[in-house]
Amino acid sequence: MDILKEVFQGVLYFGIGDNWKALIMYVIGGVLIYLAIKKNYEPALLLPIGFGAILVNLPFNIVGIVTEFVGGEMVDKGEVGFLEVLRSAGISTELFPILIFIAIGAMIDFTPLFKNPFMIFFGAAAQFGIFMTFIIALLLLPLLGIGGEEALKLSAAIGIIGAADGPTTIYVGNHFELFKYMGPISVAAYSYMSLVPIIQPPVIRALTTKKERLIRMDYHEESVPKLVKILFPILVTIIAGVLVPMSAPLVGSLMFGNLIRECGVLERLSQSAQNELANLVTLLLGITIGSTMLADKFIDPVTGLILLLGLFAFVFDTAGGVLFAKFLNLFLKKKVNPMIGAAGISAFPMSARVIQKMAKEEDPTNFILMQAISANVSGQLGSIIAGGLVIALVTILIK
Amino acid sequence: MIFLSTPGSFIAALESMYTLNEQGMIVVAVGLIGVFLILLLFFVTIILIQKSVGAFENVKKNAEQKRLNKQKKHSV
Repeated sequence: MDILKEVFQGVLYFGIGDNWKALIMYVIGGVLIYLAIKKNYEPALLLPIGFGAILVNLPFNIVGIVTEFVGGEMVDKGEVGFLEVLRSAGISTELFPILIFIAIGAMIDFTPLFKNPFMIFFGAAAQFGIFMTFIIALLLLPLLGIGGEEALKLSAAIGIIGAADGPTTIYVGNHFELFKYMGPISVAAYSYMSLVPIIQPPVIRALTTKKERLIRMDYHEESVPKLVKILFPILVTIIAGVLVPMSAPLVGSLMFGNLIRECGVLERLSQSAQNELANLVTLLLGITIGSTMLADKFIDPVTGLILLLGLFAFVFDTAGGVLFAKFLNLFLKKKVNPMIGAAGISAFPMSARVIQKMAKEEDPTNFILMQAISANVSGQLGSIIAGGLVIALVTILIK
Repeated sequence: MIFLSTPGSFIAALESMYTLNEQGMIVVAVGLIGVFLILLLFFVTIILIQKSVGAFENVKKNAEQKRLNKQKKHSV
């Protein structure tokens, strides 16, 4: 009998304590994989996350912190699997988000922003949802028994989900050592990021009239001197690093990637950052995030609240950008298309594409892609700065 | 206003004076204004870089033009 028990311990595992919850995680992992393959929602991330979620919930967590059955309960065996090695090396040290930012920086062309510097303010306005959600989370979390310092930290991480900036969300969550909630926080950040084409259009339509969506905007094709493109990442790094030191790792890595791209003498490195580095880190980041989705931590009322508030933050970020554009239109002679405001979130370049698609649906000859890209790259900067500021302020308050 | 004299005393004052929700409101207010101000600074930076690089290139162009004119004169 004991031999049979030993042989089928993997099957019997599900009958011990709350281990049956692992079966629910297989379904959640399956849904994420389905969304990635069938719906093509950010497949590079959702597929590894979904598979990681299944992998880490296999009996005895062989790929994470290995457990064993001793005296009627599950205890840590004192061994770690490869996903735990990846988590402690790439997430706990904040290495993966930083490497991803180098890759993103190498992909970003700030030229449209240099031609429309004014668009940078949409990158600030679209961070409204972060702060709105922060305060709502702070009010709601005590209802689930989370208060004090932990509530402040968790509210900060939940708010940042709205920026549609996965690496910054992970960076903030990790900085505040919210390991227990990393699964739902990362999944919410990356899932909503991939759902930009579904979440943003209805919000934009609800807040704008057809006439507003038809507004045309001028764009002049002028070349930007190379020196401008080289000086910008250097100066922005210095300014952000001096004013918000907590944002230095993210801004620094983003701008380092951009400098590699723009300097003109590191073409090979720029291509590597945009392709090999981006692909490799995305692959490892996805499966490592999935490995944080342990059933006993993930299946929790707080997870539901995080997912709900994350969506709320995303909607309010979109609304913040659109309403800011409408507010500006009260004073501007040359009106801006308010849809541009919604591109102030960090989901680059997906959000800009969504805005252009919407503009084209209203008027096939209306071309606002470049303005939307300007707002979108500003959103990238805005979300990092917001992340850095939130970390700095919350750290001061809980010291 | 004495509590503002050092960062430590400022933090201590914040902790003792404000509840959790009020601390949250501080984060919201300072955070939102901070993001706008820093991006305003980036905006100014972009304008300044473009202006100064433009001016620098103009000076370079003028100097080049003068040099070419001088060469022409000499050859004549």
